[in-house]
This record gives sequence, C-alpha cells and structure tokens, in this order.
Amino acid sequence: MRKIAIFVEGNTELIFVREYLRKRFEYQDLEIECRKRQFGRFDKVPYPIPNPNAKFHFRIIDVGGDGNVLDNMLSDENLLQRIGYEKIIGLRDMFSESYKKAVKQPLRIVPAISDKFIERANSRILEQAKSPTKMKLCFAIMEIEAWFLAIPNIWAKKGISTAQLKSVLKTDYSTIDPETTFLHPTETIKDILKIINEPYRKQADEVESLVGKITKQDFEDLQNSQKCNSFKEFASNLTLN
Amino acid sequence: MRIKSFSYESDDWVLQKLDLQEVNLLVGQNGTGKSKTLANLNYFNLIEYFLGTMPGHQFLDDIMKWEIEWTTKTDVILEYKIIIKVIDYSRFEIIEEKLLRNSIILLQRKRDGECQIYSENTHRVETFTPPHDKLAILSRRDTKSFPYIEEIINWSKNSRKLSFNDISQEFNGTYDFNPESEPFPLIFSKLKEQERQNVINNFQKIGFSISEIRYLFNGNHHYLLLKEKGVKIDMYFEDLSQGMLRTLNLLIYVEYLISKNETATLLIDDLGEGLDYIRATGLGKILFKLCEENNIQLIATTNDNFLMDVIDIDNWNVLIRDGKTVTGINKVNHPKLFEDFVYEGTSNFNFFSSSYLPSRL
Repeated sequence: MRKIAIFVEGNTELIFVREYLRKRFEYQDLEIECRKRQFGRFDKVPYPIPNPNAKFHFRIIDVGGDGNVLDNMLSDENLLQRIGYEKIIGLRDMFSESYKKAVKQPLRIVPAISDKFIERANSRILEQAKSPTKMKLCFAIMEIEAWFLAIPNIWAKKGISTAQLKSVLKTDYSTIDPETTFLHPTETIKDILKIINEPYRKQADEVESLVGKITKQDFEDLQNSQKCNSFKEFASNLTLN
Repeated sequence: MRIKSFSYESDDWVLQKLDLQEVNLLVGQNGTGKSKTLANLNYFNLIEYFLGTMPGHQFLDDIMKWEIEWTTKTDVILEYKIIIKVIDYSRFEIIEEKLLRNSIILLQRKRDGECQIYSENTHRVETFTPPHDKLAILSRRDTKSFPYIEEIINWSKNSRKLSFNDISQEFNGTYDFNPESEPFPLIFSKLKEQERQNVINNFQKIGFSISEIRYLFNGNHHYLLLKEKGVKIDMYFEDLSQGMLRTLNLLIYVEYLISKNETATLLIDDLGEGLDYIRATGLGKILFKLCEENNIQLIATTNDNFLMDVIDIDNWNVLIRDGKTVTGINKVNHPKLFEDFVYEGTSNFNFFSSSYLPSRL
C-alpha cells in the first residue's frame, strides 16, 4: 500500500479533498482515513473509506487553521515516514489574516505577495524537513472556494442559471478565472447562493451540498482548463512515481 | 494617558527601554522578567504609595533607576525619571527626580535634595525641599499650578495590576497592595443595568452559560448570585470554579473601568492561567478588543500558547534576557522581524518559541 498524508486547514478542505480522491479513483484501490487534530486530540472524522487491500492510502488531517498546516507537516514528518508515508502534502487557503496584513489597505489580490508566501513555505520545507523533496505545501488561491466557482456544473445543478450568475458576478462567468478575480471567494459563493435563498457558512452540510455535485469529469475539466492553476498544482502533487 | 515606554535598572537587573502600545502582550520564557516588569510598572500605578510598596531590599547602597514615559490625550510626552538609593532593608533615599514635558524640564530634584518646579499659574520656577524619602511630585500638589502632576496622579488612581491566578473575591491579591481596593461584588453593584448586562454578555461569549447575575449585601459581606442556564439552583460567587471566578472578576473590573471613562492602565499577570483552551482564547480576544476600543491601556503577560495565537503579534513584546539585562523585541524596535513573520505560515507562538527570532537577531 502506498501512502500519502494530506494536511488541510479546515473541514471545507477536508470534504473537498475526500470527494476529489473518491471521484479520481472511482472508489477503486483506495483507502481514505480522515482525522481532526484539535486541543491535543487526534479524532477520526467522517467519512472514511476503509480498504486494507487498497493500493493507495490517503490520510487527510484537518489541523484547524491555516497557520497550523505547515507546522504539523514538519512536526509529523518523522512519525509519518516511520509508518510508511511516502509523501506529505499540505493544503491551505492563500487568503488569511496574514495575507491581509501583508497586503494592507486596500485589500486586493497581489500576485507578488502570494508568491512570497509560496516561496517562504518552500524555503521552510527546505530548511526544516528531513526529506524536503517528499513534502509540498499547496495553496488554494485565494481560497478553496475559488475552485468551486470554477466548476460550472455545481451551479447548474443547484438550479442557478448563467444569467443569474452574471447578475451576481457582474461579468461573464465563462471567461473569468476565479483565482485571479475573487479576493474572498467565500463571500462570492454567499452572494450566489442568496439567489436560491441558501446560506453559506462553511458548515459541513453546506459544503457537501456543493462538493457532492462535482463529477470526476468536472475535476478533470478543471485540471485541464486555463483556470485555477493552484488546483492543477495540488492535483499533480497527489501522485506517487 | 498611557505608558509609552519604561525602563528600570538596579545592580542585579536591567530592563532596557521597553516600548509600549495601547494593548500589549508580554511573552517570553520563564525567568525572563515578565512578572518583574509588571511589578516595577505597578509602583507607578500606586504612585501615591510609591516607596511604601517597595519590597524590603537586600542590597545596601543599591541604586535603582526608573524611567517612564507617558503619552497624554493631547499627544504630549511626559517623561519621569527617579533614582533611589537603598539605605537599609526598608529605608530608601530619593537622590534624583526629574519630570519633563516634551523634553522640557518641569520638575527637577538635585542630589542635595533641593527641587525646582515650574508653576503653570505663575509661569515661574519655584524652589522647595521635600523629605528625602518622599517623591517631589507628591510633595507639591496644586491643580492650577501643577496640573501635569495631577494628570499623573489621576491616571494612577485608575490604573491597577491584577494577578490573574490570584484574583479572589476580595480585590487584594497576594502581589497587590492597594488600600483603596474593593471586593468585586461591590464593584459590580456600582455598574448600571446595561453595564451589568455587558458583563453577562461577555461572560457568555467566552463560553460560560450564565444568564443572570444579582448583587446581594447581608450587612457584612457583598455577594453575587449567578443563574446558569439549565441549572435549577443559583450559584453563589464563592462556589464558582477558579476559572469562572477569575474570568468574571476580570470582566467586572474591565467594565467598571470602561464605565468610568477615564484614562487607565491595566496590568494583568499570567493572563489565562488555569483556563481551558476555549475560555483562554475567548477571554484574550474579548479583553484586548474591549481595552482597545475603550482607551484602556492593557499590559498583560502570559505563558499560554493558545492565547498567544489569538493576539496579534503586532501587540507583542518578546522579552529576552541575557544575564541581568532584559530586552523587549517589538514592532517598534524590530519592524522587519514582525513584517516578515506574516509570510512564515505558522502560529504566533512560534514567533518566539521556534528558531525564527534567534536566527534573525
């Protein structure tokens, strides 16, 4: 069994990654373990796919905060390597309190600042990891919700038309790259879901309601599109040679 | 009025000039002098009892120096310097004393004991000789002639030091000395209805399910009776857990300071001690927000890494000790360290606990 550990900043990311892996592998040869690290505990959380004979095993760990992702990757490296994990991946949003501090007012997307965060993460891994080539911190730019926004089928299945999307986004949905357009994609999704009187508070059922609509084809289309390079980066790192 | 900077020097301990802001979190390893810093700042909170609060000193002929700067409401800088010599275990002699306003001397005590003081009333410098063991600023009080002294005294009257792990029902903690202190229930009784409700609301925000607090006095003792949601029998103040008691007392006192609407500095040692993760972080966030929004200067120390993670590091002072010398690393004196840290993608606690600081200092 080949193993990859994926540290994520929160439940939204855990749900997305879990769904992505299920669809990518079509439940074949796949084992998924989901955990949440909080207050010194390391609890199992929904929904695992137990499959002891699977070829690939993924442990997804919600570490409860963007600032905890890289720290946990580095601190768990020894143990994970000892129990057979070949790769350690991290996933966190670029948009954060630190990002806002770095950009200052007016808040906006500044690619140079995003690059600086990425560069510093890579440097820390080089400086502090025992096996830096087997570790990678990926950033969802500006948030993982940008990736939801880049999948048109989610909105179609929610009964939201292209015209309605345009009225909220104030632009042609098909032409934009959510990664470079929306500073705080969570707020954009809130505005979109208002059309159908649904809230978006990042609660598990609300995230499942969006992520559950994504098909394997949707994920492949996103990976092959010109949008959301950060998703391509993340997806390509979830492979073992 | 708030403290802008503070330094202290004696034969066995030196605190280099520490820059302070509206709200401050002092952090550092054990033994770096966090509590000692607050104890020395507290002499100024209790300035009317300055030498009376000095602990018995072991080192004869030791010279102790303090320098404190305040920024007033009108952005004037008041700078006060005191040098004291230890005569014996409990006797001290003030050998130098100076008060400046925007670098202009208002009061100066020379080594021979003679003082000169500027009168705003007559616009002249007056001369007097206070007792050698009494501060000159306390020896001449006149609200028209020396209003700058009254400003300091008024600030000190509202300023307090609390040891969080020693907040009991009575105001006096082991490390406090304040003859004007009052029990917390009595302080609560002085709050208006809305102010009492604010205390309850904040207590709830931190995670305690208290829906009502009533004040009682039986002729001898002051009590608070608390109603908890889902609990039939009301709780007396004394029956609260230590964590609840400390938190409630602090919230009561902060609301009291806010209600006075006067300039004040609040020192809190070991903030969060004994609280669980949720309460410690909840209290930290609320306390810093309340103080910042209501012009109460807050200077708190903590060893709680969860609490550190929720307080903006721009408000931190990391104390580092090298032998007898303590230095504070903060955004004022090391701006780049703090600016670069945002890119580290790590928790605030790692700002001083990891190799980040040592590798860059």
